[in-house]
Amino acid sequence: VAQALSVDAVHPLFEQAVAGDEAAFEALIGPLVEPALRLAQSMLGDRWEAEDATQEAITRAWRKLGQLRPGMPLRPWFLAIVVNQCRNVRRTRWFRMIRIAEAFQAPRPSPNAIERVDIARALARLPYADRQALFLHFYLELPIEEVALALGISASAAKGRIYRACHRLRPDLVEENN
Amino acid sequence: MDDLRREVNDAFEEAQPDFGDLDGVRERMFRAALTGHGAREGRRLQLAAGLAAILIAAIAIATFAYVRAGYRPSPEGPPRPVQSPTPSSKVLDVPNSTPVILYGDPAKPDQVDGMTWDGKLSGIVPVAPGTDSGNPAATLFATSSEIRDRSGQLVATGNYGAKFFRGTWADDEQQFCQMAPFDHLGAGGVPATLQIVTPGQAPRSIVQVGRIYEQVVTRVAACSVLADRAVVVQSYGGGGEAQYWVVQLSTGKILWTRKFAALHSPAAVVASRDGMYVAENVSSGKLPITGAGSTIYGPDGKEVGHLADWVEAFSWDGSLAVTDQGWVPGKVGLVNWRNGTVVWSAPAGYALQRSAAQPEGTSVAIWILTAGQLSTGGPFQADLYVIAADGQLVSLVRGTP
Repeated sequence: VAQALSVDAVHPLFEQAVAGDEAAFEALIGPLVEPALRLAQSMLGDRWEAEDATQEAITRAWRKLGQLRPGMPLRPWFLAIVVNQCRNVRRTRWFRMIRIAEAFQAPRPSPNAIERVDIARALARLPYADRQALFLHFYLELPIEEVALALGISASAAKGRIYRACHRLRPDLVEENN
Repeated sequence: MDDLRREVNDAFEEAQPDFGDLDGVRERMFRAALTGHGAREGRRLQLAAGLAAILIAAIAIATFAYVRAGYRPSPEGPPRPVQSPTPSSKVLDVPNSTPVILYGDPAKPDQVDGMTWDGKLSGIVPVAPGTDSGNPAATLFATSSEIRDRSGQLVATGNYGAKFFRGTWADDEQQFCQMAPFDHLGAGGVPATLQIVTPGQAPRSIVQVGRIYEQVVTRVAACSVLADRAVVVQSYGGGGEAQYWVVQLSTGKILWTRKFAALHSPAAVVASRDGMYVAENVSSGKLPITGAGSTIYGPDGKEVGHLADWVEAFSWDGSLAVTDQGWVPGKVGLVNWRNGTVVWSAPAGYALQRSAAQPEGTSVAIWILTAGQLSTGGPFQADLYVIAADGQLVSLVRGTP
C-alpha cells in the first residue's frame, strides 16, 4: 500500500504499465485490491458482488490507465473506479429487487458486544453517502483529499460528510444509552 | 473522536466477511481482468448462473404460508397470525395470459409459485431463468438474448442487453423500451437513443435523449404504450439523478424535463407506470436522519403532491404510492398521495424489499423484511402482502421468521 500511496502518473512503473506491462500494472494495483474489496463489500453487502465489482474495476483501470492525469495519485483514482462500479451495481434492477438495506449489515448481537451493536445500528441509519465517506476516512484511513477524489466530490464536501456523520453518530449513541 | 473512530472501525470490521486467501483472490482477479474477454465472459457467465440460482433460491426461500383473510388491518395494527404453512404441490392452473404474482415456496427451495391477483388461485409456476425480468403481468420473461412465455416457450430471440436484459417492459405487456447503446466504455459518453422494441422485430428509435457514459446510468423509468409516454432518467456518476425527460412515444417529442445541479440532485426518481407522475425522492441531509421527502409532478410537469417519505413505486393507475423512509428499515406504507391518507401500513420496523402493481388493477403487492432479517443477511426472507386500493388485505404470504 505504501508504494501505491506514492505512485502517480509519472512513476516508472506507471509508464511501464501504460505501455502494456501486465506485471507492472499488477505491482501498481495489487496492493489496492484488498482495500478495494473491503470498500466494495461495504457498498454492496455481498462478498461475491464485491469481488465481481472489484474485478470489473481492475479491468477498467487497465483499460483507462492512460487517462490518469499527471500528478493524480493512484489510490483514490482506482478507488473511485470501484465506487462507481459499485454504484452501477446498486442501480441495477436486480440489486434493487433484493436490496440489502444500505448494504451495511450490522453485526449480530452477542452479550458482550452491546456497545458495538449500538454503533452498528447508528451507522446503519446514516445516509449512505455519509457512511461511504466515513468508511474511506476511518476504516481505510484515506486522508480527506483522497476521500474527496474517490467519491468525486470536493475536499470540503468530503469533510462535511465526515463531520456530519460523526455528529449524527453521537446523538444516536446517546439515544441508545437512554 | 478517537473513541468514536475506534468504535466505528470495529463496527465496520465486523461487517466485513472473511475473504479467505486474499493472495489467491487477487491473483484470480488479475488473471481474469487481464486475459481479455474470454476470462471476463467466463466470470459473467458464472455470475449469470449464480444470479439465476440466487433468484430461484430467493423466491423460493421467501415464503411460508398463504393466507386469504377478509380482515382489514388498521394502519398501525399488526397483521393477523397466519395459518399453518401450506407449500404448493400442484401447478398453477390458469391460462398463460393471466397476470400472476410470483413468489417462492420455502419448503421447496427450487420451486417458484404464483398466485392470481385476487388471491384465489395459487400453485407452482415452472418459469424459466429470467424471472426477475418479467413483464408486469409475469406472462413474458426476457434475458439478454431471448424472450419466453410463462410455460417456457420461446417467443423471440434478439440482442436485448449486453450482460442482462436492459429493457423496461411496456404496459401493453408485449413491447419494451430500452436505451441504445447498451454500454459505452470510452471517455466523454455518446448520445443515447430511446427505443421501443416489439419482440421479433428490429428496435424502433424514438428520440435521442441523454447520453450513455461508462460510469453513468441512463435508464427508462416508465414505458407506456397505452398512455403514449416514456420517462428516461440519467444519473450523475457520483450518485443522484442528473436529469429526466418525459417523452411522447409516438412522436419523440419531449413533453417536459427537469435537470439538477449535482449538489441539489434528488437521490432517486420514480415514475408511475404510465409516465403521468414522477416522484423525486430527496435526502434531507438533516436530523432526523429518516427525514427524507418526495415531491410528485403531474402530467404537465407541475408539482401536484408532496410526501414526507420516499415514493418507491406507484399503483397501476398512479393514485397510490408505496412509501418508505429511504434505504433503511423504517415505516413502509401504501399512501393516497393526493390527500396523504395512509391506506395501509406495514408493521413497524420493516423495510421494503420490492413491490409490484396489479396490471390494469388497483391492488399492490409489497414485500417487506424485518430489520433483523436485513442485518443477518437474509434479504430473501420477505413477507408478501397483497393490498387492495381500499387497504383490504387480499393475501399474506408469510416469509421465513
